[in-house]
Amino acid sequence: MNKKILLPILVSAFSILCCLCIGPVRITPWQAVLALRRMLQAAGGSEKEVLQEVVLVQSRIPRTIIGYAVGCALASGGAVLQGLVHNQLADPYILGASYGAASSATFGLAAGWFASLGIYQTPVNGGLGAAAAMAFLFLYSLKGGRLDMERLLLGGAGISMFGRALVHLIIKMSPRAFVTGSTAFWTEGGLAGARLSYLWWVLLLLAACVLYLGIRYRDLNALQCGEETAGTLGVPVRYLQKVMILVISVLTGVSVAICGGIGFVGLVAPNLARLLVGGDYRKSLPVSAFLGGTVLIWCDAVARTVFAPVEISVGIVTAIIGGPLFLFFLKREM
Amino acid sequence: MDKLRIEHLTCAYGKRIILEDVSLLVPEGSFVGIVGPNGCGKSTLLKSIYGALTPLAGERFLDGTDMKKMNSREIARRMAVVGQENSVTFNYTVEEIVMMGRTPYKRLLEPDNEKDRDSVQQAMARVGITDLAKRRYTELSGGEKQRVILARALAQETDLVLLDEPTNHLDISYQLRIFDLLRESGKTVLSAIHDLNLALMYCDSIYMLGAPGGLFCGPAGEVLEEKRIRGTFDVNCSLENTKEKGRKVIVYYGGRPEKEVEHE
Repeated sequence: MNKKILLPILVSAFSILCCLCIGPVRITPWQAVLALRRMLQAAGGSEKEVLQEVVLVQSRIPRTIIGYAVGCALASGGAVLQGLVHNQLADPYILGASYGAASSATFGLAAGWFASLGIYQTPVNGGLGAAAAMAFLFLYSLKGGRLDMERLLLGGAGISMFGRALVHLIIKMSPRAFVTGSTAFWTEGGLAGARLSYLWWVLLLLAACVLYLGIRYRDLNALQCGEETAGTLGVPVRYLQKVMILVISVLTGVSVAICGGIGFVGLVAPNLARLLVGGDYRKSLPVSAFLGGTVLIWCDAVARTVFAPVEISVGIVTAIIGGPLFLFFLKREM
Repeated sequence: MDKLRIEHLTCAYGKRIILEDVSLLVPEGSFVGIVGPNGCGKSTLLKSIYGALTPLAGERFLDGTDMKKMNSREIARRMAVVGQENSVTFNYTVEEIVMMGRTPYKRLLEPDNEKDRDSVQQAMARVGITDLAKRRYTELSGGEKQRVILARALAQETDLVLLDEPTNHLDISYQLRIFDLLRESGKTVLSAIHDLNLALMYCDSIYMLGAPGGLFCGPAGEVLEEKRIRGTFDVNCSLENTKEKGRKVIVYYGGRPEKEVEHE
């Protein structure tokens, strides 16, 4: 039992350390450890050492840590959402977050909303758009006091289609390069914008969401036997569905605001986890989270190195690596 | 004492009224059956008792307490349900499904303890699925699945069990074994039953829905008599004596009651 818990933790720690080192500026793992120690002790160093510290603080640490947290959050969100809507193909973005964010951020850029916020302009606009899309979907899916899961699933698809059309419309009407670039970010995702300044807030918020999903594992299990059955097993089904969807909306919204819509992690990690350890949420949820976090930071490492100094969207890497891997496991298991 | 008491229940799907002013009593320790033709509202009645449907009107009392004043956990510790819904989304093992029966007893994050594991093992042994414990639920046959669901209800360790045609997919041996088991367990049972002979054999009292004069209830032998079965189900039948003294069996002659069959 201890081994089963220890292995993912060790792999995660190892992956995080590795990803701190990979990138255009070379840092060996040992140098990274030394740099971290110097920073903690506020000690100085040579010019090269200072450069390494700057790269770590400005870029690698925030994007790796936030990347890991976002990966965990999207994967657990996906795992729970798939259970709530009884569909293994569900992904947290079916709640409309990424296209909601894309359309409002693109429009915000074109119209100059919140321009005074500087680098936070896009995240704020995007976050608001994601929140608005998901809030609308939540209210739209309410039916006599309960959340209709089918309506949620199909409504989300409708909202995403609408958002997508809006984005293209805005680009056509305001053909400026930065607007087009922004769209790619929202729909494919990227961790380059992650900053140390809000790292703790994001970590706390995402950790709280993931933990909440985790502690309800028994109820989630019971829900897989159907909503009626779960009710007869003492699960407060209506309440649970609403709170879970809200929590998933929050974690998706936060993820989207920081790093756009990184596809595939929320879909593949939970399915992979179930292939490895079975459906029981007590096992599959932590394994999903672990896989999501680890896979995402490795994909980000690839995204920033293969065509360095040009970065490609991390969402493209997750899909290119995750797609075949997923197909391979699926064929082996089913 | 009455385990379950339902008073003046009215249920509807949209504007179509399915059940009107139904009252029902399940005395402690009794085996009560609900019979009736397809679409007469057997499942609707059960569903509105266990709360999957909200009735338009009526009161429900469990152990003398108004069920509106109990939360779903409290109810789940006193009443287990074997419904007709038995599909499961992900790949769970049989043991994991049966363990779900322990849900109403567990606090947040409380791990499974010895008591839970015992109760799961016992439940599986009683319905004869111990060998299947590690198998995936989705790979089982219909009859095996049904027994798993039954084991889950047994692991819930409730005094009252509600069943909606629990022997649908079972071969005759398991049909009898399951009903024997339920009757010997000392649990109070309320079950919708398709097979009238099984109902006649096991039930203390029977509620017949969809009978010409409306709901009819009474001891099994009184409810299930030739004329009433003929009128309710539109079939030609007779009750015959068996070798076992005092036990009768329903024999069917065809689905058209106007063609009377001569019999002694």
